[in-house]
Amino acid sequence: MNRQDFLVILTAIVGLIIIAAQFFTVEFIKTTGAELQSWGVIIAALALGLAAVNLSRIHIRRITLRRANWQYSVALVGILFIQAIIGFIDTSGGEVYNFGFENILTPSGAMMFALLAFWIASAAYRAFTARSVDSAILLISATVVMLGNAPIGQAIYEGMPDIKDWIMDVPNMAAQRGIMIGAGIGAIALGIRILMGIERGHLGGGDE
Amino acid sequence: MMSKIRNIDRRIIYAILLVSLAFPIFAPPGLPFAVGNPARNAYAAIDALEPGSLVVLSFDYAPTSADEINPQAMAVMRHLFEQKRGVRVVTLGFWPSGPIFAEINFRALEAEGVTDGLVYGEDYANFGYIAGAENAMAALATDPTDAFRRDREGNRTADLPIMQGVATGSDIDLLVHFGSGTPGVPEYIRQLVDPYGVPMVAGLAAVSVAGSIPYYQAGQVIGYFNGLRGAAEYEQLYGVAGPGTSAMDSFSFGHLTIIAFVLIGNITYFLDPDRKKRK
Repeated sequence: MNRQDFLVILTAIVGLIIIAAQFFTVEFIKTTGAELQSWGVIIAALALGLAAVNLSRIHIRRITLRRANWQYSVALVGILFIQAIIGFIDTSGGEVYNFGFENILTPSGAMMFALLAFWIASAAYRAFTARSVDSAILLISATVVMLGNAPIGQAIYEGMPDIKDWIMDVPNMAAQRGIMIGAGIGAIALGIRILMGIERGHLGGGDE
Repeated sequence: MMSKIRNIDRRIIYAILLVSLAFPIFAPPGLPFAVGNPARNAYAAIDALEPGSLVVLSFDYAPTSADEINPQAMAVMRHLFEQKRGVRVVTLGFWPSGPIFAEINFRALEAEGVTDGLVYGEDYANFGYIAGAENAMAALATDPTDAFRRDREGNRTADLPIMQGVATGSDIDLLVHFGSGTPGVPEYIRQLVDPYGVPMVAGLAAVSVAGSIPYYQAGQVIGYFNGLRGAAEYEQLYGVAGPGTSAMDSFSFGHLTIIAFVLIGNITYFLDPDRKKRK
């Protein structure tokens, strides 16, 4: 048995236990399923640490080789380490740690998202034109949904929120459900392929 | 002429939008708005909680969506701490920054005196963040005190009075999830709502609403808040104007300006004599 076969069998056993734990009330299966979930949480936490190490490695390399825009990497690595050290000493509930979170991360994150409004306004002005029937339908629907969502839409026409609700609850939902059911069936098919060892991409070795 | 208007400097567009967003802050027209059924249902579910009920507030968003979602969370926390005394409130998160927002909100309410008399560990607790996304949600559903073994203060969650009698996810009386992405509504429905029958209310970023409506229509989400508008609706229902309500006029004028730009863009496009040549 080679390494890949071993990992396929391990994946299948773990996957089947988790599935069985959802459907059966056998104590051993339930306990094992719960334990495996805890392992998953621990592995995910380790993966976060690994991600931080990997990020540092990539950006320290960028700095040492003076790659393009290496100054941004200095900022990233510097803040990563400073905030991590503060977190270790002060804990993530501490005042100093939260000062950085509340006064640097939150405003800059909010700013990035808020800038979208300006870019959307500019992009909509230039590109959101009714060049075809499809784009005209999209344009009208988007306008009605925007107006229906804002109080001004109701001030312009009392029934605007109702029209918006219809667009969201009927055509939008029909499309969303179609996408969800398709994605759900796809996920089941992928799960079966992984359990049967047909899909081996997650093992990092391709189909060989 | 038309192409000149179409190719207007984008900085002019930015400036007009900025003025339209800022103007209502200084001279708010106070446009009225109706409260939709999703927010009404969400409010009713929270308002119906009896003393002794366990409500989990899950903070699953990042600073990018905080301005939109945090007013919702603030309004719900105010309602719970002010009027639903005796309801046990646990905050947690599957996004790293989530529980920090819970703490910031709590501190803000504490400064107003809203939380006076509440005891940590008995009336409320902050369990913090655990990694693992949907898998971690599944662990929460299987055994909450095993998934979150320690709270943000370092206490063993199993020893907290607030968690006495809580063995599985089915002991949670209401889940209020504030989120803007993955893991979010679908993951909670798969792991906690459907298997354990936990009622769920969702506080969503406006961009996530379209994708979550099927869950609301199916009854898996009993009510939801639609972005900043959702926060304003909750504040109106509760009767305390907050950041959601005060942002509504800017929200209206911002939307109207973007729609005006779209209209002008279309008019100039169709009146542009060079349009056919470009085709």
